[in-house]
Amino acid sequence: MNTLETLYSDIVTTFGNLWSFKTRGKSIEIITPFATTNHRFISVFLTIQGNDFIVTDGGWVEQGVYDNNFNLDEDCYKKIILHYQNVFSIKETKNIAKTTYFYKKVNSSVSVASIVFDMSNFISTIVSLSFVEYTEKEEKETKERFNKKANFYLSQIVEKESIKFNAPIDDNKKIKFSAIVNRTKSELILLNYITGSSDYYFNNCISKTNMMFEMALKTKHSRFIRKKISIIDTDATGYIPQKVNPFLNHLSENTKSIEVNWNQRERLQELLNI
Amino acid sequence: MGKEIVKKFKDDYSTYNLLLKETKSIFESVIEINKTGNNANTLEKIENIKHNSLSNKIDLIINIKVNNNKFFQFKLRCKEYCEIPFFRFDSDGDTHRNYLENTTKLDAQQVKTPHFHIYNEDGLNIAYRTLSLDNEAERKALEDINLCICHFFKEANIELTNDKLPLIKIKGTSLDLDFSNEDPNANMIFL
Repeated sequence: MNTLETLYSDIVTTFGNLWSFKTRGKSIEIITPFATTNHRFISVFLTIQGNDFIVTDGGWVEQGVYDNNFNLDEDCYKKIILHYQNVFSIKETKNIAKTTYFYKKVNSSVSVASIVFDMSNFISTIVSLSFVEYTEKEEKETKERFNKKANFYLSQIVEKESIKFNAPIDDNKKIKFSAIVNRTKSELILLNYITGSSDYYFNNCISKTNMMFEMALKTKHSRFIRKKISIIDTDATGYIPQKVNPFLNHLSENTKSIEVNWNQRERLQELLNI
Repeated sequence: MGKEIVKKFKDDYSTYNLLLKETKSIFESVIEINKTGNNANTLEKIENIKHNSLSNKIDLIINIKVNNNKFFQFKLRCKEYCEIPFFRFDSDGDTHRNYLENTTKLDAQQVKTPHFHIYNEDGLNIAYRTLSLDNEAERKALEDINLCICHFFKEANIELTNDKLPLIKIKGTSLDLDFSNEDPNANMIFL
């Protein structure tokens, strides 16, 4: 063998050495050579159920075991996940604790290596791409700042056990609100915060709130919704009344929701007392 | 997230060494864990650690997965110095890559759990295993959180006051789950 061939042989051996496994009950954890940009090797979990061979992520992606983020509210990130899921036909399900599991299933042992390859490639990508900053820094900070301010204010005027922040109304946890107040099981008040670092982001936020209020009415909890309230960040740089008011008007007319401007937030005290 | 390169550790490595290598003490002998932390899947408890020569407050953070009590982490953090924990133990979980491409062969860069994490003088996160963790019988014994925390204290130079071993009590949660199941695919239906 010449030098290059020797190097090639060493590369193949070294790569091969990266595979290993741990037994975990009736499954095995396969540690793969696929790695992430935060330097973690991807593990997949292989199980046999009846005639089926199943390879999963073990719920590790949603649990953030790779110290990754899993923010499906980020549209770009969600699109990447869907793209990979479509290309590799990756399915998802939830365990008893509602953690998302990604998996592939085959009924021939010949295909197991193939689904391990796809799952590893998928997990490695979605973990690495969870570290990308998709939203501009200013926009992210505007949102975080207003969330913090509004959460703090609401927690001062509503008793702790009656309010949930960033909470879903549906069982699939897809339809989320900035806050949900429920003093009794049959009385829900949905609140969404509207802010943005520019009128473009501000209007996007209005559109999203509009859609979420509409979708909430299609859930099984719709009959319990007593009020829908939008809290408008009047201090945001994106709050330019002549540009955002037509959209705000549509939101309140279309969803019969109540607008509360942040500079008149004391109104919330009365509105939140059913 | 656990950062791979922490500039603060690199810039002030002498404090890093002081924090890690000098003797520290813990006074609490019973540590009860019953509350979830930032992550709903994880129980968390923070205890005080006293450094014998520095006056800085040091936190011992204990995290345990709600659905698998064998999956836990111990972390040491000194907030005044850096928000990121400077020392950590993972009983289970993902495999780390020590990104030392100029000095370490690729397969030797791979460090499986259980493992410890320190930062080198470049501020780079490095995982390593002790001889005990490499010994299969000892590794198995260290799945017990109470034995493991003693191993952690030894590695982190933490002394026990009155030589009393700490006792970690994990309170059950309302979720009806098997708390020792290390197989994440168990009891799942894959349609």
